[in-house]
Amino acid sequence: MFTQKPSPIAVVSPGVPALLQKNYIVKFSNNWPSTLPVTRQIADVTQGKYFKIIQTNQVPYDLDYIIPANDFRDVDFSNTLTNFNINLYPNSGNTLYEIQLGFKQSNFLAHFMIPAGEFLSRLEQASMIPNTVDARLRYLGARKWQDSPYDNKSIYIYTIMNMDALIMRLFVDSGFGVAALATDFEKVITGIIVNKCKLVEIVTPNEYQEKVAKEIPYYTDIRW
Amino acid sequence: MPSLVINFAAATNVLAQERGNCKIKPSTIFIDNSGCVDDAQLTFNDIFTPDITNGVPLPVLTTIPRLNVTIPAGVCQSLEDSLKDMEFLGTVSVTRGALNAACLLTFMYDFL
Repeated sequence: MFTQKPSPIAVVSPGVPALLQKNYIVKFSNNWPSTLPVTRQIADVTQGKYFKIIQTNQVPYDLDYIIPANDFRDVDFSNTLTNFNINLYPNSGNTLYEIQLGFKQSNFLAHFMIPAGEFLSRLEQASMIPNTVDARLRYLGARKWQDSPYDNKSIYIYTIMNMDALIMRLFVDSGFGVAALATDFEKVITGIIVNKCKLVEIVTPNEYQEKVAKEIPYYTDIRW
Repeated sequence: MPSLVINFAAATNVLAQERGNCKIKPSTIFIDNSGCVDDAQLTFNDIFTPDITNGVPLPVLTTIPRLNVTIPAGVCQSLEDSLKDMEFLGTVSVTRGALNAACLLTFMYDFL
């Protein structure tokens, strides 16, 4: 449900579309909860189900945040009303949002959590958890604008209705200011493309469909 | 690339309004103080209201001076090199130490 695509080591021609397309097949991994609407509405069992995309629509969306140095702002992708939510979860059970996320050049670090407080990029040793207060751990798992430039986005997020809230923490590092004012600010500009995908369940996928399906992992798959 | 010419009959002059999805990057500032008998002491300000953050739950309108420059009386001067790394997060405005309608400023900029 969250991935940063690596740089290619080879060029494929003709090119492969960066976003999910009509007639593509997706599979939700076995760890998705059976209580989520995407599967409950379409089938009574959630995990490991296959879906065909029958329609897509790409919706661009830019957001900006002006943040003082050594401070952070959380951005909640869910539809739960707070001061920080941006409503990028579907409202219907048969829709998948594939969100492509990039950043314009600026001085910041981005951390991702799902649910709130649980960082995606933690390591196995108990203290290796991203922490913006800590001078070293603020860089653990931190994405910078170079990791996903605005014009070549490489961060992908997949959201469905009622999924746990995904939080992006945007931190403007210290050492960014002027003496007379004590602090300066940075403007973090995020470029988003929401690829709306309408899904229909494939009740009995054939061997080819199983082979070509794009598996969408749950966050517990990528944070073990 | 937009540009704008203003004079300094007014105390504060807005050169470019804040835009939500970009910063403002000045490329050239040309100051014509040739018709003036006083030095032009100019301050370029960046004006914006920050977002709510963890440390500042109630942000207020903020003004940050990004450039101070003095152009001698009777002189025309172009600023380019000193703008190379300059960005404005919000609205760009300029003030002159003393009002003078004969002093002209041309502001050329782009959006980042």
